[in-house]
Amino acid sequence: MKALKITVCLFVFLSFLPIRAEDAAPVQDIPNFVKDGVLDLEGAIRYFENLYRSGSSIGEMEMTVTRPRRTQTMRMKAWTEGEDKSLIIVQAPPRDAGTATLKVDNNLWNYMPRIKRTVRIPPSMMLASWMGSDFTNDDLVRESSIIDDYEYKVVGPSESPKGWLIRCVAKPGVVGLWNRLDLIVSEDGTIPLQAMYYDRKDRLARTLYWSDVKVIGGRRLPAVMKLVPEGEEGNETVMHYLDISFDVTLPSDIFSLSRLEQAQ
Amino acid sequence: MSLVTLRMGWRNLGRNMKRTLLAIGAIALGQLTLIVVNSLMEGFFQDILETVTGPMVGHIQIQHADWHDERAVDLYIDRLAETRRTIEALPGTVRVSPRIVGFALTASGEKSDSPAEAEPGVIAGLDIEAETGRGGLLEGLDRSQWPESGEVVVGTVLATRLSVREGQLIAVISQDADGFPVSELYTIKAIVDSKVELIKTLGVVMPIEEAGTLLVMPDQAHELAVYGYDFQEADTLKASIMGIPALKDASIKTWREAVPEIVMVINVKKWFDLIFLSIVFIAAAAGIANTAMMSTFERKHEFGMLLAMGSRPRRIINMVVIESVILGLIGIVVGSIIGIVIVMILSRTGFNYAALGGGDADAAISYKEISFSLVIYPRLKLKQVFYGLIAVTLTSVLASLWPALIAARLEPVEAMHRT
Repeated sequence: MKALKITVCLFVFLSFLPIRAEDAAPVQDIPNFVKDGVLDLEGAIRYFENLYRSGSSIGEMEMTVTRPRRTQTMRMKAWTEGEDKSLIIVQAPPRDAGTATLKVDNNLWNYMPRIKRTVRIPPSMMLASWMGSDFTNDDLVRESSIIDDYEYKVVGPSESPKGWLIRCVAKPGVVGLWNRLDLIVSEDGTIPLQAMYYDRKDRLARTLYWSDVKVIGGRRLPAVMKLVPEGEEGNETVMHYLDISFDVTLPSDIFSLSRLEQAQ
Repeated sequence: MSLVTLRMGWRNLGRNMKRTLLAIGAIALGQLTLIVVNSLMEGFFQDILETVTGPMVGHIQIQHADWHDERAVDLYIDRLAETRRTIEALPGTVRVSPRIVGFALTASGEKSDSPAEAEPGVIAGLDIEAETGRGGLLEGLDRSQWPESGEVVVGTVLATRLSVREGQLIAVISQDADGFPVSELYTIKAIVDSKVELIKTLGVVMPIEEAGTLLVMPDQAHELAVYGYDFQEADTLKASIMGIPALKDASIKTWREAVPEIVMVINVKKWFDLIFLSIVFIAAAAGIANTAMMSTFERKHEFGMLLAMGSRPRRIINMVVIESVILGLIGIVVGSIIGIVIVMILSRTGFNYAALGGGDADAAISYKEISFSLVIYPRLKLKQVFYGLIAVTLTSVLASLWPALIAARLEPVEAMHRT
């Protein structure tokens, strides 16, 4: 089955991010999906899925990877077009600057400036870590949607964090990593707060936390996403979105291998 | 038993040459089969045993307790230099080979227009000097091919997959011990075959210092292969290694514990030995019993005569038995000579199982990370010849006792009375 797009697909996540202050559009109206104490599930899920969609975007983010012995922060810039194309280039620290990942459809290429080589990631390495983070290569290339791939229902109000617990169970026949996804959205149903991923054996594999809700690109969204893998103490990855230009015109050749290699 | 009895037994064998030769042939064939098949098996299993206790596991294997399940790069034995010295100081230790193992993406490092296709590989950081010695992972690697700083040796299968040759560059992309991405280009010093599947199919072998630098493991290793004087004494060595405080949480296994499946397969061989020994027994017994029985009944008249002339039944028994023993011994000698010659020839040329099946002469099968060559070099063990000898001698005596007893109990008058 396919993993949940919004939570796992960084690129897509990027695409929702805000336009710059100077050309900021007015913040959209914030809907409310709770009527008479009942969550409008269809409305909330649809809103959640579209929260991150955009035609194109340019974003900047900071990824902090924490490991038991070391913590490393990388600053990156990302370009996306729809859900199929994206380019991420590491800008700092100097040691990693220029390291780049290009995604076109289901293909993934990595460019490593240290060895000045581009390598296509083979399918067998899709579950390996992306840039040393807790995200996998698979998280980058997988496109999926709750609406298409999961059967979902409201379990009820959630206490911690406060909101609504939505249980998404993979539809039979959908091939993917996750068996079940427990998503908690805010009390008004507009902001994702937490998602718990259960593997094919229905064991909790990782938890994604959203926080720091801000108005970005005219949308009210969490700017921080933290992924904590289960059973690996001291490991976590925090993705902090700093800035995003939204629905921008991108150079036509941006998602090409040549750009990947010059993209310092 | 007198010399006369012996001579009479010998002469009797010549009385029906055809039958004697057939019996000798049956016994010889049994012994030949025993020697050839057991030597082939011995060669096959000895090869496995040497691979397991040599490059693959060593006599003792020391790893992080969780290494076996996860093989994550951060599951290492810390304070390598000190731990290594402590183990080397133990009285039973001959050598300690530390190894770093890191999973990686590899690709051709040569410049090309299109991006290189990556293949999974395994970084093996080894003590090159120790591993090129007898029983090491790189046993027999010529000194001119030893990888030095900035150089690697690549397994044949991986080299083929990446289409890289000696002297070219290989790109290695991995994660260091903390999980952060690292990448490096290395020059391929040599492309090597190995009996250890991992090295052959995925191996990117480099000096352990080089791997330590790449993976940020300056004083760590994932595995310590410890060698004692005799792999059969691994348990004793293990006991003393377990007493080292720095290794109290580590997994310490003898080769038997590390690859129990292979030990089990090797044990099965003992049963095969027994089965073939039984075949020789049965072939010999059938041949001898038949010959003895026939010649006894044919010579009823003679035996009656001998008994009438005062021969003691004991002598008759001796005569029949000695006849059979001579028959058996001739068969064994003939079988042994032919068998030994065949084994000697095969141990030079190798016996190619794959070719028998119409396959590639270089074919190998692999099981549990060991690559088994299908070209077997038999190893002769004199004990097999000896077992055959004992078995056939015993069988000759037993198989001829019955006809001998019949002959001894003949009533002389009745026996002499020709029908």
